[in-house]
Amino acid sequence: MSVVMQDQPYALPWWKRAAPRLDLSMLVWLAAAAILVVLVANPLLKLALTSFQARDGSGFTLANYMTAYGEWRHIRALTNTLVMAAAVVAICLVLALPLAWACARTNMPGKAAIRICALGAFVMPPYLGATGWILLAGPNAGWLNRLWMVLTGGDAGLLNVFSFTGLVSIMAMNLYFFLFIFCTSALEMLSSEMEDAANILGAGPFETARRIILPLILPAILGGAIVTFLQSIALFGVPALISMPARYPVVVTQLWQFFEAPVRVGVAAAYSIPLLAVTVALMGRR
Amino acid sequence: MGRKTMRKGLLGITLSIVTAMGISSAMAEMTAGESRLYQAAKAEKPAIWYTAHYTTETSEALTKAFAEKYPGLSVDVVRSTGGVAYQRLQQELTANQLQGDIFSNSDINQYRELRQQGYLAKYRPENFDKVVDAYKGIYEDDHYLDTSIAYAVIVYNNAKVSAANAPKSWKDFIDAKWKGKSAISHPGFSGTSAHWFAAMEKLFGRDFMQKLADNAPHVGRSSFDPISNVISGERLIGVAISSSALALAAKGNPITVVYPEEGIVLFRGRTAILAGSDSPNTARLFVNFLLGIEANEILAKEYWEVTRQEVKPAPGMQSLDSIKKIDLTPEEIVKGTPEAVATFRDAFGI
Repeated sequence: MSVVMQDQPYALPWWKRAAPRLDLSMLVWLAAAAILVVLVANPLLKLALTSFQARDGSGFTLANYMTAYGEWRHIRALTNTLVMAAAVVAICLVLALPLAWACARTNMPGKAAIRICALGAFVMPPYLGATGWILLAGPNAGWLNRLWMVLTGGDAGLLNVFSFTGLVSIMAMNLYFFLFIFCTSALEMLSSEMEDAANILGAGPFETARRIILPLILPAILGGAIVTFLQSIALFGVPALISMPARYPVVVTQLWQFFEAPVRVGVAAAYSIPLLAVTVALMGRR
Repeated sequence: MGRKTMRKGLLGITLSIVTAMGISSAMAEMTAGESRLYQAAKAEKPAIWYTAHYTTETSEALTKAFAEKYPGLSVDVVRSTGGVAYQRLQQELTANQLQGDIFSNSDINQYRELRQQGYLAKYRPENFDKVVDAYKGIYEDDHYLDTSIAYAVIVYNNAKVSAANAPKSWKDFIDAKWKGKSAISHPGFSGTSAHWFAAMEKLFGRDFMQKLADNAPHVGRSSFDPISNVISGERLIGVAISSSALALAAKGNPITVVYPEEGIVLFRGRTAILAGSDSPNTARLFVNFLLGIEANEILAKEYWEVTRQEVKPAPGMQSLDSIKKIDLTPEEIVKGTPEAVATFRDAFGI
């Protein structure tokens, strides 16, 4: 009896066996996978292959990596980028966390307006934001600095947009939205009973935030921080305008230079592999 | 009713005579070679012109005048900085998806590379012989040629610097008194900047770069950036391209142009037709047009140096006859610019 039961499925012809597996959701899944392969995996693979290709297209070489990492300037741009991205994440945390908490967990007036403003900072092209800040905080001709010079009678401005601080501040203003939106939604989903319980047990608002709320929204904070970090590595608009006068080279501005004559696509590909590795590592960790 | 028709008919005839006269006068202005190209070009798509060293306004004025001179033909401008135009072209060429037909920029290294890769078409326009001798230049067996002339000058903010205090020479430009007050552009991004640096290294040796770096100039990407910085007062002195500096000074901006004692650095803007162009006759006619009188009249209005004797330079523009010029040879540029970019990067760290 049992033997018959076991044998029966194998007795079915192959098309009948395969048929129930190929339902509609399977097709959607396959289509999505195919699109992903074409749009994402394909260019990434091409990038990796190009990084090992000689300039005239003849065969395998490691020369691109030698050129890309054979100079201290290029290495410095890499470390500079990591330092910059870390600083941007730190500033974004300071900007976004209190704002998200105030918008989600308090009855602060004007919450809707603050959300719209945060969205505005995100929607504005980084290039425009940077131009605006150059007009405001250019060390000699910036409006804020001119106002400062008039008020104090001095001959030097207060702010210098063309500096590391200027660079990371402007980037943070463009990117804090991610952390804000991640944390706001996490905070909104938090049940207030947790806070009430903490209050009843004698914890003040600070203690509650530190021991109850923070651990609960930590995944959202980490996720937001990772996205912010990756975004700041890849952002071009702000470094394009600020990093050169600030004499703070980063990966994206260096990558750009590999495309100047003579164009070295292979070297650029080799140079972008660490960015890719960082991305894969961070997304994999999530 | 009949009268009306007759009137209409008369009007039509008159109009067609006038139009025919207009066309024939335009035809009369064309040489046999030009009208041959024109006839062949009529069946072609509009040509696409990648350009970097003209401003958007100048490039559009040029293509507009071309379309007026040759009814039915048109050239579309895609303007960007030299590096971007070149990157785009290289990407199109390596992907075998060429869109552009004509390429204009000042960096001879790019032309050398394109020529080596076999991407340039050979062409010597009729008007080439009519160009002023000093500005004639055609290279590598007629594969690219000089189509515009400008030069590097010093500009200073005349609201903040007196004429007596202003720099008179390139040597003054790197004087320590301008520390934190000067503006330049990155030679790795701007071809004209690399050319200027090569000329400066030829004049002063490697010392120049370090002295300049010690002065902490503001480093922009485009060669137009230093002028904006000087006009806004962000910096007081800057290296500028004559055409934009003279045009902006004439419009009343607070800048004065200085012709440095050691000499102005001559920039030759170059143009080539791409071998894979699918509008080759339009492209040829346009390159010929760039060396013509009409194009020079437009360039003169924008304070470019004129390259045809028949055209008067812009009012107030100094004649270069008695002015010292630093005119690097193609070999000096090809050798000097990558070296200058390398020393710049070492000295500035960017």
